Amino acid sequence: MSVAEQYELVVGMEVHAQLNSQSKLFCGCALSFGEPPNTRTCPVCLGLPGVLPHLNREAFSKCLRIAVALGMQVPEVTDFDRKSYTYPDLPKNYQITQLYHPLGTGGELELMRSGKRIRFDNVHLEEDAGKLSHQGDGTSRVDFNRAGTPLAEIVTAPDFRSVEDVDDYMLTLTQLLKTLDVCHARMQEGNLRFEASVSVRKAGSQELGERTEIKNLNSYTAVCAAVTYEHLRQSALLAAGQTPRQETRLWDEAWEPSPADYEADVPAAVRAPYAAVAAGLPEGWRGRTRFMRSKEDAQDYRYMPEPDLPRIEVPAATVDAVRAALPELPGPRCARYREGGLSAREAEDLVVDAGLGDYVDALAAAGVPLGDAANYTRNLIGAVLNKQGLGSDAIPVPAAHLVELHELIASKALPKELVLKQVWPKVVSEGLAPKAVVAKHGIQAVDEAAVRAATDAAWEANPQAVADLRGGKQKARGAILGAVMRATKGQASPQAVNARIDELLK
Amino acid sequence: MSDWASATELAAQVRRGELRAADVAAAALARVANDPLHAFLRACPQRAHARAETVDAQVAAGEDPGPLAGVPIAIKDNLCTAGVETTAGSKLLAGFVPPYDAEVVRRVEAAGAIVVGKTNLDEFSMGSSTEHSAFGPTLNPWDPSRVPGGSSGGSAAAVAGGLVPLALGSDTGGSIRQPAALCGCVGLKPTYGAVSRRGLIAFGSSLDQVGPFARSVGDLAALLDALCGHDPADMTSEQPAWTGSFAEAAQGASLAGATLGVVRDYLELTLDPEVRASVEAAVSAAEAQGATVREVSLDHTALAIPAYQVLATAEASTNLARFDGVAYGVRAGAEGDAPVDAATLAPSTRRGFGPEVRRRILLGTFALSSGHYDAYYLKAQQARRVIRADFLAALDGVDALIGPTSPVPAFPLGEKLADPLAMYALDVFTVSTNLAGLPALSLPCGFTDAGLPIGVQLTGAPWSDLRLVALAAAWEQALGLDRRPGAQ
Amino acid sequence: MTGNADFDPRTPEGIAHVARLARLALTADEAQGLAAHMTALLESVEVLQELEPDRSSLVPSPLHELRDDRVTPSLPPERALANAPEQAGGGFVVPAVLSES
Repeated sequence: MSVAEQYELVVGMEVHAQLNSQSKLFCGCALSFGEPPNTRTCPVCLGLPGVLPHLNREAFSKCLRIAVALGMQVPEVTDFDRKSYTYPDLPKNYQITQLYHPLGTGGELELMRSGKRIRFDNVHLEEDAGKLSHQGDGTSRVDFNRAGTPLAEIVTAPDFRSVEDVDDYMLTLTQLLKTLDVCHARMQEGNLRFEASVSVRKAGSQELGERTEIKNLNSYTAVCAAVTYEHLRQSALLAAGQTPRQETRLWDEAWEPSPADYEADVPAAVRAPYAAVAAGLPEGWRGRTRFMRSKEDAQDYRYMPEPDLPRIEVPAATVDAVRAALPELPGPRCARYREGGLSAREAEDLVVDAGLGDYVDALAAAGVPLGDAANYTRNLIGAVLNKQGLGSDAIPVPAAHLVELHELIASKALPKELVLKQVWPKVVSEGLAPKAVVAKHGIQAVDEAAVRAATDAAWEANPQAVADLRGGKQKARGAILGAVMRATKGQASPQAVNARIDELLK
Repeated sequence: MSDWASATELAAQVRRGELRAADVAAAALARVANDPLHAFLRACPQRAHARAETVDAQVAAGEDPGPLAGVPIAIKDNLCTAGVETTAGSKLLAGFVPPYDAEVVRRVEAAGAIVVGKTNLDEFSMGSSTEHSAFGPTLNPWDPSRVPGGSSGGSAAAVAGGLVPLALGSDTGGSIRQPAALCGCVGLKPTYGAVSRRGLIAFGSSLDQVGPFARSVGDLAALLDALCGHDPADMTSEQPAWTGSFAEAAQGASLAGATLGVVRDYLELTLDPEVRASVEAAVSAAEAQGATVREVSLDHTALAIPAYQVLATAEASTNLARFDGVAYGVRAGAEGDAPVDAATLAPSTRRGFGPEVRRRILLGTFALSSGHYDAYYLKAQQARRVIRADFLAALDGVDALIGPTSPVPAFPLGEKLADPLAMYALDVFTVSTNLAGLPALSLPCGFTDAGLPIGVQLTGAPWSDLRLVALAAAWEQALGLDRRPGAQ
Repeated sequence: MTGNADFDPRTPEGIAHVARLARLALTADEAQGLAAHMTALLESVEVLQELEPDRSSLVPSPLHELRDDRVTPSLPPERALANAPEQAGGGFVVPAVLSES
């Protein structure tokens, strides 16, 4: 049994989401990803002497939308603060952020998979720093393209109790940010940066243990792995009679488990025993957290109200308008699909691929039962998109056509297989509504007498199949059925053919 | 080699085609090149010639070259000038060439003025004597063994010494008004937010304002009309609440019916007796013109310098944090043989700060530090609110508060360097107006027996800048001072 | 937060701590002198302690005065780097940072 099972995991998450405005938070430079260094800078985002910040209204609005979507309290007046620390990628050696009066406090979010509600501490608006890259020759280079990019920092309460919940949160939040159109939410492009604060405690305890903040988490799997590892490391410490201390750590994804120098850089009193940790790691595990700094070495950020920016009023009417314009949130949407009878997996897929979800909703709104709507969308539309290399933002078949298709099937005017095999492909290729396709191509169900005749004819023409059937090989039906379908151009009903075969077998 | 032409006269002559801007610029540049006061840190002849050509071409083509057409102007070296070295008086910024112009530089050039050079200042505007410049002090035009005041000492001396008719300075705790008083010229700190700070190398962001120097209130007014006005890109600037122009306000102005307030608490402070006498005489002259004088009190005067110390240095400690040698600035070598590494890059670069700047950064850093923020910074903000409330109450029914700008006339170079606190005490009559965001003007009102200028200060309610200029114009006329410095 | 609230800037050690925060390098002599200066200074600002701290503040700005989200031209990279003490490969060169601060 892993030592981690003896201790309850407590996690809080911090996310930095790059807002998808056109320009930076305090200047008109375009946002960038991958451009040559220092090609998206100006005196303001370079932090040259004499510059002043000019606040981007769109970035402000997007952060406000996040606050409102999370059900947070929005203050009547919000303002900014300087957070001071020295680092080469921070142009002014202070970051303009919000400490005292952030755009939103409190709030909660319903998670997509579990339906659990997790609470928030705050969301606030701040500027991003530039990027430092190490050259391996004793120098580093600073690129300020990213400096000044607007960030929404979203901070949860320490409400997570499992890695699954953390994963659920990342999924839900990613979806939320895309749905709100505030962030592209592509972790690999740096749009989202997660930090986890992890502590552990004896099950049943109400007190929080000392927490470790983990940085350098560059993927969703890294987040989950880091939380898992920290749970183990801190549990091993507690089990050994020691107490974790408040630390900041970096995730090192390349580490292969080995006792060599394990935690050699921390005092023995807070060094987790390697054996206990290793025992809890699955086969093939990679990655560990590495000590970066402790509470004693923590920065004194010397927060000060930002004198270059006025306080900004956020009237209640503005907040109400933002709230009224909110789209359906991912948690409730996922729940709606589940309650409508879809599987958890299906529900999640339709939320994550919102274009498909919207399509399903359009079908359902027109009266198609949700289960059918989901099936049509996943199977029929899915195949079309696949074949044509399209995304769900460019579905080439209007929902109305699928609604009509469904009505054709439900009314049994034509056999289902006929509709799917004969009508549907032409709906796609000719862009016509199903009824129009039927009319144009004269598609009709073959009548009973014709089916019987065709079946009898196929019976005569396939003696081997008949012999196999009489010998008990049910698979041989297929040969007869295929022949009948070919003869009737697919318009025969398989049920009718099989019924006739049954009669012939007697 | 001085020139005492008035700016408004010069502009009128250039606009009428009687004078060529090119000639005016050349003459000014010659004076700058021969500057005996060390008012200037550098000239910008290329820029000046190019702008002058433009003005002359506009005049020739019958286009409007602007109300300050052809007038030479000096710019304090903490205002960014694109393509022209800007040092803020610091070794750390030696060789720094901004890629952009300060908004006020853009505005004065748009009005037709010709920037001829950058003037000396206390390093990063921290000082009251210009002795803290890394490039040597500026001398007082009335007595070259004395200071011109600071931090805008170079601009004040350039104007008062007849090198240029107009100059820009900045004022955080008195840095325009005090040198104006010590040099015998006119200077104004506008209402906070009236003039854009974009491109002003920041010292105390909530206190700094750019303002004009001139030899007459009429000239000052012309420059103010070019400077003032909302800059959307400076979010602390505002649309001024006044209507009309400064030029209009300065004409036909009168003291009759004006109510002037004398601050009882200031009278009780230590004051040079000649300063006291001169200001009292000036007040009598105002009364003779029909002004009424009443006594007012500012109960929290004792809080002003402490609050200013804490707030200005706190803001400065963050404003100056950017000087770390990464993207700009002179990277000094390390001490001894040690190579500069990541941990020492910033400290070694920041050895380029002079001792006064270092003192202020330390105090400001302390005031914001963990465990001390409430006791210092927050209290200072509270003091600020209380001081502003005092002023607004005192100004109720009063057109302007009046009193000496500086407790002493120009003092000898070196005299106050040993005691920083004594230097800070010189700001006693000026810092409150920065804390309260109010406009204040220093007007020459007399001389000591030794011939050193004395200035009287007018302080007004927020957005009463036009009224202050009007009162000052009338007072200037009533005082009828007519003297020029001999030390050329 | 940090457990650093127990330093006293009137002592050379305390001043040295503040200097570290401010990234200023002080010599031992300077630290002595500055500690003395701070002592005098802090005495002079003691009068502020009479006031009650008050976090209320000034007139706020409406949302419509914020900047339109429009892209404006950036500096050409040569101009961005024009004042760089050291540059290479389009970046500002600094001594390598060994660990994140």
